[in-house]
Amino acid sequence: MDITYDIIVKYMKDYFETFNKYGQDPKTINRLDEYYAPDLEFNPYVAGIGHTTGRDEFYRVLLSHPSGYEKLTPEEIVVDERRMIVVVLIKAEISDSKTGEVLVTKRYFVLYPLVLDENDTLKMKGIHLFWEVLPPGAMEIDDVFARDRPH
Amino acid sequence: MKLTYDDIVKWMTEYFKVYSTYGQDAATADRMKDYFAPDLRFIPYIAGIGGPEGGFFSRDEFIHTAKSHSTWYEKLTPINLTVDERKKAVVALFGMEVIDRKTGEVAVKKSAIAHYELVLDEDNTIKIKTIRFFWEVLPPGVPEFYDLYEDDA
Repeated sequence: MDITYDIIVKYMKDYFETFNKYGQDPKTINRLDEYYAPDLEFNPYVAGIGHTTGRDEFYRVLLSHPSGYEKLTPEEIVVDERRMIVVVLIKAEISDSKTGEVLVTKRYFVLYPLVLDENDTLKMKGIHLFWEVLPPGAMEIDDVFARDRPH
Repeated sequence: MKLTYDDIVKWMTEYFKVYSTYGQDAATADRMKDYFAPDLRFIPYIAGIGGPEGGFFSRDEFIHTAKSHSTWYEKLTPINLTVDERKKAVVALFGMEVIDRKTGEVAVKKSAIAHYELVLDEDNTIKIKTIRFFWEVLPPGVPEFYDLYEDDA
């Protein structure tokens, strides 16, 4: 399969739609198997957020904050066809799952190395995450997700 | 001149070397004019250095600030260049070391990532028009870049 620029852009747009619709619900999260390699590495450049190896471990992270919903909107997609790498500027909105109120809005900048699997389909091999540093005192993502942790 | 993948990689690699070597010294900082468009926009997604509404709005502002910290300099080492030929854009993941000029000691070490939009100017040479900048969030209590900047101010 020839992986062209346009194929990669479409794949990434589909990924964000799938993530937003299905990626934080335990019943449907495995729809993301279409996008993540089994050995997916999640590598956040943010102190306090754990590095994970394997998509199942990453799913545990995504499902660990049921009271907060994370909507990701790609604003700029940079595609390196030659090296099969994509970097995306993302608007992230974290809302209260019950009320729908948006509690935190910030930008992420994420680098995704891609591979072709044994079926010749695109998969993400890594998620290397940087995020916007908000002003001191602003509500942060961890303030929202911490509500789901045992006290 | 057509901007090819290999041209962009070569040019960006050179940019990092020139910035680290000459871009923060008052005597040589104007060499950055070879790389920045006059209307350069620098957008830091970091509240402590202005946030996305702040940053710099011209090449001169960027250069002036880069050369104003006389006691230390930043050494930037590209680790990964993602090149989008169609959009004339590059993303660089790089190591950033803040080094004390007198002692050579590394005061801050972190990773950063930046998105560079490129243009060809009237002389058909590559220039950076926009820089969107993110950096690694270090654990609380670890010295930060702007702590040093305040010391130098």
